[in-house]
Formats: sequence, structure tokens, C-alpha cells
Amino acid sequence: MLKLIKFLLARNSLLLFLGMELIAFIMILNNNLYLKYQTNDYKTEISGFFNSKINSLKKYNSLTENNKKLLEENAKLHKQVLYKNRITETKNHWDSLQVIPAFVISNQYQMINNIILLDKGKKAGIKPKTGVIGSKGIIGVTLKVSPHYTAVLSILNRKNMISVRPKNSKQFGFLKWDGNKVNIIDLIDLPFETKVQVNDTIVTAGNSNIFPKGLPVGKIIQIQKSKDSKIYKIKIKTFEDFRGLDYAYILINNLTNEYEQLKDSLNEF
Amino acid sequence: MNFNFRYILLLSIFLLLQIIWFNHIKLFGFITPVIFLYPFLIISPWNNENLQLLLAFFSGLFLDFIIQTGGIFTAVTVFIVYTKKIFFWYLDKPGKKPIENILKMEFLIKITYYALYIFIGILLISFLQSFQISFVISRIPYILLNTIFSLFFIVFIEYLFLIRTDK
Repeated sequence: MLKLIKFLLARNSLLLFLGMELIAFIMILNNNLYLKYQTNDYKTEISGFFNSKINSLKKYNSLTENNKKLLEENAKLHKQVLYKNRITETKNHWDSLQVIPAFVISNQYQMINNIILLDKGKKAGIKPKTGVIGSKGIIGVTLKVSPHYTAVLSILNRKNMISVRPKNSKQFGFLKWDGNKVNIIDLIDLPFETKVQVNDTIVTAGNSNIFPKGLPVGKIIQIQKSKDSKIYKIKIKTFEDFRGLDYAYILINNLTNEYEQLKDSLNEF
Repeated sequence: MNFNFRYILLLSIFLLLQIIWFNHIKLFGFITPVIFLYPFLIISPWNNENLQLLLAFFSGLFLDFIIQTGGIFTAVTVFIVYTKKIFFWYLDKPGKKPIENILKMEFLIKITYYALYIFIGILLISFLQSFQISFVISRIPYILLNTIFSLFFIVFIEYLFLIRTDK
């Protein structure tokens, strides 16, 4: 026993290293579970607090630019009200659509699995699994909501899959980021018979309760056809520039609870 | 370099630079320079290793909380700090004095040392995010380019601020 203790003391840096790596790996695994099951919102609250402080420092230096952006944004909001009306007129399910504006306080796009933090949370009525859009196109889906902040699973996240379709087609595929270039996303699983061209607009398919049908996503910049496997390899450039996100709008459908309850009750059969 | 106020200041500056500036860079759409490892590389591995490990652990934890990466940066900084001595074991020859000041090392050896550990760091960050070896292999050209650009920034900062002021 004494020999073992002497051995361990002689290698205390190795023990320290192993202990620290163990803690780090537990954190990584917990983080993956956190993404999966969305439990414990304290991380969102702590990270949101630090990022809002850093962001306020950055904003102080660019007030003029931000004011200009706000004015432009106001002008666009008028257009969005009209746009919102168009959505609600055509799709009853989204009649009770509520749009909540929020500031982006932490914008991640440099990792493989990116998360965006917004400065509004539960107190503003935001819930997990709701769609988030920017002024030009979709951004992601709310993942975790703390009282004052919201963590959004960006579309630049390999764990995010959103159903989309070409604007002039009814067939749909999924958005999946390959983790490399910002603003460039793959469109996968689109049926081979779908007629697509470069520069075609891609919009949301509206297959879930997260995004209404027809929200702009991006445009096709590259199509590769594989004759053997009969699948498309399509690259899309997003309308929203993720390097310059300042604002976001959370789309809340007040009928979500009813929809989810019905869906859950169907699982029993 | 030794542990003193100047070193702690340097470490804090590099962590803040990474969070506030370098993390928002995407050169050519995919290159994000990784400079936060630099302060851990310029300390000799024989200089109070436990303190180095503790500093690496808390710096990584700080980055993880700010960037929301849940332990990835902690695992990488601690790994780099502990394994950097392997490079020096390889360099050490019998009868030769061990290297104490990394900043004054021969240029080519120093660049190789920085490049190797930055490459390992970026490789680990990619792997710990995806847990897919095939994905990391497909990203190797990006990781190499990222290493080159990170190295460029590090050498630039080192020669402009550290070696100049030392002289």
C-alpha cells in the first residue's frame, strides 16, 4: 500500500492530468446528453450572462453602425408583418403565430456543432423546439431556454436536420451542414426525379411544427448528379449571413402544445 | 518564459483575443485561427508542471463556458500541456543542457514544435466535436490550412511583441 502511495505521489502530474481529462470528458458527454435531452438550463444562463457582458462591450464600439442596422431592420419589419399575414392567411395551423424579436449575444459559426445565444428566454414566452429566423432566412431551432436566455441549435450544426424543398417543387429533402464552410449547407435525400437548377430558391417544407411552409432558406449554388446511386449532391448558400447575425426572430406557434399532445397520443397506437 | 505577472497577463490577452476576435474570423469561409494554445507552448514542460496543468484546465473551462463547447477546450489544453514534454524528450541528447527558454529555441525547431501541437490541438477539437474518425480524416486539408494560418498569427505576434520587447 505504501509503495502504491509512493508510486502515485511520484507521478502526481500524471494523476492530475488523468483527473482533469476525466472531468473534461464527463463534461463533453454531459454536453452531448444535454443536446439530446435538453435538461438543466443553468449552462444557458451562465453562458448567456458572460456573453451578454462581452457583447455589450463590443456594441459600445459600434453604436453608430448598430443604429443604422436598427433603422434598416425597422423598415424590413414592416415587410415582415405583411409576410406574416401571408403565412397566416394560407395556413390555419399557424394562425396564432407570434414573432418575438431578440438580440444575438453569442454567435457561433466556427465550430462543427454551433450554438447561437439570444437575449430572451422563458420570461418572453420562448419554448424549446421553436423556429428561429433572421431578417433574410431561417437560422435554427431553439434548443434550451433559461429564464433570460435561449440557446439556438444553428442550421450550421451537424446535429440539426430541417426539412426543406425547392420553391417550385413539392418533393423535399433535408438540410445538413458538413462542418466546413460558413453559409454553405448540403441538401440531402432529395428524390432524384426532382427538377432542380443552380440558383433555384430553397424554402422550408413545413413538415413539422417548427417552421411554417415556404420560409426562405437559401439558393442552390452547386448540383452534382451521381448516376450510380441516383442521388443528388446539392450545395446551398444560405440567404442569412451567419458571420453578421445581430438580430433574430423566434416564431412561436401557440397551438404547439395541442399539436404535441395529439402527436404523443398517436404514439400509443 | 517563467510564471509571473507578465505571463498571466499574456495568457489572459490570448484567451480574450481568441474569444472576442479570432473566434469570429472565418478566412475563406472555413479558417478560424487557434491562438489560445500559444501561451501554454512557450512555457518549458519542466517548469512547475502541476501549475501549468491547473492553468490549462481553468483556461479551457473558461473558454468552454463562453463558447458553449462543454469540455472540449478543457480536454485539449490539458492534453497539449501534458504531452508537450514528449517533443522535448525527443530533442534531449545526453550531455546537452535541457531547453529552458522556448522563445530562444532554434527557429525551425520552434516552428515545428508550434505547428505540431497546434495541428494536434485543432485535430482534437474536430474529433471531440464529432466523435467520428472518418469525419476528422475528411477535414484534414482544412485542419492543415488552419494550422498554417494559426502559426502565421502566432509567429507574427511573437516577433512583434514578445521577442522585440525581450531584446
